[in-house]
Amino acid sequence: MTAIQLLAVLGSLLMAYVTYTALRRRELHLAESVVWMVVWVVLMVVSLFPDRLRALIAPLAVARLLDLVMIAGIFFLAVFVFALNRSLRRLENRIERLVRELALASAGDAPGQSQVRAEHRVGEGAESPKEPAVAEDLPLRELGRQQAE
Amino acid sequence: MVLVDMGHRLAVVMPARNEEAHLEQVLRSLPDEIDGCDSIEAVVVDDGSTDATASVAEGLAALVRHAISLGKGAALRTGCEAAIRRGCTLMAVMDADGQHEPGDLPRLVRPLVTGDADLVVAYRSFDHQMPPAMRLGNWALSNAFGALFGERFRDTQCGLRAFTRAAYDRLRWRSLDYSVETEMLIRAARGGVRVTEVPIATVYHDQYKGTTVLDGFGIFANMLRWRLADVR
Repeated sequence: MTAIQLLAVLGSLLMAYVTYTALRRRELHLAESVVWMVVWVVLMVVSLFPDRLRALIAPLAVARLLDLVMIAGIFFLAVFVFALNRSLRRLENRIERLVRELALASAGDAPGQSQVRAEHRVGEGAESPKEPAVAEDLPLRELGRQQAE
Repeated sequence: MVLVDMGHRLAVVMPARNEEAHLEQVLRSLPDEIDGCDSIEAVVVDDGSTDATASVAEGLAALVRHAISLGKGAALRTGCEAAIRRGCTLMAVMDADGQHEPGDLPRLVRPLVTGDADLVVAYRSFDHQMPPAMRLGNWALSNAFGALFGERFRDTQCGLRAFTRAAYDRLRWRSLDYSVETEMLIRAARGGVRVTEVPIATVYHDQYKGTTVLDGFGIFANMLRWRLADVR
């Protein structure tokens, strides 16, 4: 066994142990733990028995075992990052909704002091409302295909 | 001449994060009356401030507090949702740091009251009042918007805007951060919202607060994303 093989095996065993403790502390679900355990076991096997895996290289048209390991590793990482990204986005949406609902619920419906600055009521005896001005001097742009309602 | 029903209830929505220095002056400077509006109320959204922003706003505005900071876009949406729950028919959004003059509000709201527009967007002049980095960034983003979406706006990053309750349904944005201004215009363009622009004064109290160069790159990245996606 070469030094690099030893390092790889020890590293894989260490990560397997970390995964196990994470599972026990419920920081990982069982399914996630199983996936990671498979990863560490595969890395150990690849490190310990590289020659036995050469039979895989030819059918896959890969030049070297290391190339196969690199390609598989990159693919795995890409999938993992994608899943993380989705998870984060969902969390972000949930946090936003939660914070907003909490804020609106605690603000309540009752108006605070001095918040309505002016209230004008037009009724009997009051002056008739001014005719609204038409903004002829402002350029009006209608965007998009539909007209506003 | 178009006659429209009077009796609008206007909400001035202000997201605020650590704005104790300017907020009181801004709130006290809001106009007491605007033609076409029966009532005007300020809605301040305290976006996780760590200073006395909330204390300053209490008593001067309807206060909504985020337990944690979510960003300008999220705070604006919360403020608009609060305004709708309060029965407001028009909403004006403005910054709480004094970069927008409250005196511009009547001109901003006027096309909404007369029924000539659904969304009114303010634009600043890119002159010496604007810090050079901001001038370059705003110019670049405004031109990038025009190139990507085919609609020309003089100042896509100006946060002073006003829109009707109905328009808000078509504008309702998802951005949590400073991309909200850009997303609002994209949704307006794709949703058939009638838009008009009004000029306002350029005010900068603090060169380094608000959007940074990194924010600018983030906004541009989002523009590219929205160009590729069908944001509706």
